[in-house]
Amino acid sequence: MTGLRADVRLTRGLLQLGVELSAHPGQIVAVLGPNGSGKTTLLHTLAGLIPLQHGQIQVAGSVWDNPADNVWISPEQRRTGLVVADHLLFPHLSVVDNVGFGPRSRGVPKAEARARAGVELAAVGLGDHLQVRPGELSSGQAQRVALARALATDPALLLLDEPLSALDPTTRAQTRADLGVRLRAFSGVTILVTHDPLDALSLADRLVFIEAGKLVQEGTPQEVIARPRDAYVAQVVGLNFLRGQRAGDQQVDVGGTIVVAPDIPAGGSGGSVCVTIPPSAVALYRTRPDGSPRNTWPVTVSDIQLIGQTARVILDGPFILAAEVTAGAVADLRLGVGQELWATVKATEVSVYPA
Amino acid sequence: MRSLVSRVAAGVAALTLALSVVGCSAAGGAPANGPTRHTVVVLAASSLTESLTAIAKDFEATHPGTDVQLSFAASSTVVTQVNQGAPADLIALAGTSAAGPLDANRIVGSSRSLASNTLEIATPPSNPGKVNAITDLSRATLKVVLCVATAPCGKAAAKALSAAGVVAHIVSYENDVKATLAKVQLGEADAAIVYHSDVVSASARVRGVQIPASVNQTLDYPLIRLTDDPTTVEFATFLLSDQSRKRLRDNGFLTP
Amino acid sequence: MRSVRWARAGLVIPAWVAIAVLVVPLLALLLKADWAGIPAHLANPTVVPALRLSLLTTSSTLVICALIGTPLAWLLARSTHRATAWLRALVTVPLVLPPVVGGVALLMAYGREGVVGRTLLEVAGWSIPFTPVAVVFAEVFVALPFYVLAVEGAMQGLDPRYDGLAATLGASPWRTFRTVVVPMVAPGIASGAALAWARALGEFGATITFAGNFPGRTQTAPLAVYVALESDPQAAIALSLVMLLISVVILGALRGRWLR
Repeated sequence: MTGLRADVRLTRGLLQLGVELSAHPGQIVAVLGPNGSGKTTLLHTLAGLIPLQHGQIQVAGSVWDNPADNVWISPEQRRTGLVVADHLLFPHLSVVDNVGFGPRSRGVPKAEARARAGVELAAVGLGDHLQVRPGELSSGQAQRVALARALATDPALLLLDEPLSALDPTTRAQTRADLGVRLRAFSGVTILVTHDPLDALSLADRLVFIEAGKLVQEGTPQEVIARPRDAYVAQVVGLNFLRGQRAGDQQVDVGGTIVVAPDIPAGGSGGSVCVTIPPSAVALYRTRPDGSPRNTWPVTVSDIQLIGQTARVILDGPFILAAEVTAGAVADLRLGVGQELWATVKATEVSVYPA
Repeated sequence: MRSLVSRVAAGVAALTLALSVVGCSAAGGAPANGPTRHTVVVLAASSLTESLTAIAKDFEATHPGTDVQLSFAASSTVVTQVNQGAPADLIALAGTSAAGPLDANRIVGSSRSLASNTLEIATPPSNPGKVNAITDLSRATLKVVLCVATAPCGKAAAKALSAAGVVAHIVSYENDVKATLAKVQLGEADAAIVYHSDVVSASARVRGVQIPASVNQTLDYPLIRLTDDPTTVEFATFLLSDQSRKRLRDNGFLTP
Repeated sequence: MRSVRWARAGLVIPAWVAIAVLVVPLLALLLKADWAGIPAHLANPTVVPALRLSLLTTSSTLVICALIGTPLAWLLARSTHRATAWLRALVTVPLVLPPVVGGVALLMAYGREGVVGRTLLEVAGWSIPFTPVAVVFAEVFVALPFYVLAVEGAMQGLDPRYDGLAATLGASPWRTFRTVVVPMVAPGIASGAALAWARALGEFGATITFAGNFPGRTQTAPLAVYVALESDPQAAIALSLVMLLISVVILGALRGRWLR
């Protein structure tokens, strides 16, 4: 089988990493997780910079690491490309020599390596920057050169470790677009580690979530957005997330409080279900409202973040909810931390699925 | 503008301070002829190391409260130091010609002859170079060490070799006679021309080979006083006493 | 504001004293030199051989320091082993050892009766003391620590992630060392080389003890100055000025380009 098949198991200090990961050639897999979850360690085992203690890494049909069988391919012999957040271009080499470094290290003659580098640089839109020194590039350009450098060796596995995190927002948006174009044309497997949901959702074919060294959810962007199975994942896709027990055809018991939703399916083990509520579906009132919403709870404002014309209000009540209201509403309601309000959610906006 | 002026002023002040400190120590040197001190500073040729150390101990034992401070170096070094203002009360050199460059203004009284010395070849006890006569020194496989030409033992050794018509196979010129002897004691050199007194004081650590009297050099050791200080005068007299002369003879010197 | 000026004066005055301590002797050397007679003094037959020997031996020392010192610096910079601290302390020892003691130690090791020297003599017939090779030994012994410590410092400042990145690109550890590490710490290497060269040039105690003093063969410039001081002080001063000039020119050139 070509592509990636990895069963990564090792212990490093306090981290116990145990993740199975596979991907077809041409696939882009995004790996997300909180700090310290083991994403970078996972990447480094694939690159060969950290050896496995148990398990196996197999790429394009050949085994790269198998401790049980005593198989180990060193990083320089693996066909990987690595891109890190702060590019790490070699400052003493020109752009073309940076990109040609890989081919040169693998024995390709200088002229041919330079030609290859030229092709890769053209593919990221920097074909006319060959003789420039890395110090003279903008951060976005430097990251593109770093990508070209990683791809110049024609790797089977491309590893990107938060490639956009060191860029300012405007550059990030543009570079993300350039990255997307280049990655789609790449025929090998891409593993993209990122913090940024937008990176994952716009670039990846599949998402993998890791927490404390374990895989907690994986699926296509659509699957994950619709049904996050975990508070972190829900936070990444921007949804409120609750866990509860099925308590009837249209009722879920969340820690003692009843949440009303339409058509609750049979729960997972023991009737446990996941409940998601979009922040925009949470309405806030000064006094307890009448009317149709049967999901009405008393809450206290614990935090308010203003992002442009929208405000994200964190509410403390029977459970923690995030509401999205307009900046105007903040003014009208005279919202402040510690204020007591009523939050309501239409039952139709509540999504419930087996845990 | 003001900060520049103040900085320059501070700099000038500091430089003047530094220069005056430098000047002070340079101008000094000649000990004052004041009330009686009880220390005597002696600079002597390194060949006198063992003998003078013993004599100084004798003096301090019989003259309680006195302190004889000894410092040894090649005679040429001693002379240079004295000329540069080193504080010294008494100096003893190897060979009267070594006293030539001495600054006459510092000499007090007339110089006396302390002892005399002749040259001798020293080899390691096992005599790896099979050196048994001065003529053996010309063998090309030998490692011969002499004192540097500016030191009295170096000059004398050169004279002895030329008188014997021998071109020695020299590998190094050491700073003073003790350093020359050390190369033989360490086994690094096959032979060295040092003083007879050095061979005596090294006893079992080196083996001596006589130099024929016809070519050997005798050096007279002048004792020169640089102050009239009573303790210095006393020590100088003590150096010329029978007791001290016995010490010198025990160490291989010849005494008047 | 007056207090600020006084506070600065408190720093400026000691700083000037420091400058004076360094500069006054050098100025004195220039002032007391018999400038008219310098060409004659330099014509003294021991001067040119001493300078040539010094330049030859210090160049060899520099090459040796670079060849063996750079890998050692790399090892010290990247090793996480507990013994590394001890190794680093060991490398520092020649720095604090009085040079003559170093010379005696070299004799004990490589002299005719020495631990290594005896075998060398019996097996290959080689004797190191009293030869220019001994001069290089003495110079390397005292200069290598300077080089290693300066270069190690520079290498520690190098982001260790470059090594891993170069490996993923296909570079072997040796290739990474040659094409990534060394070029990136070049300023540190230049610094270390300048320090080591200067130390080697001025080396006296270990040289005279281990290599001896023979004009043209082991009498380096510092030894020649010392010997000349007693017979012909002006020749000593002339030679000292030449050494001063060479040092200033070379260190000045390096400072412009590489030393920060």
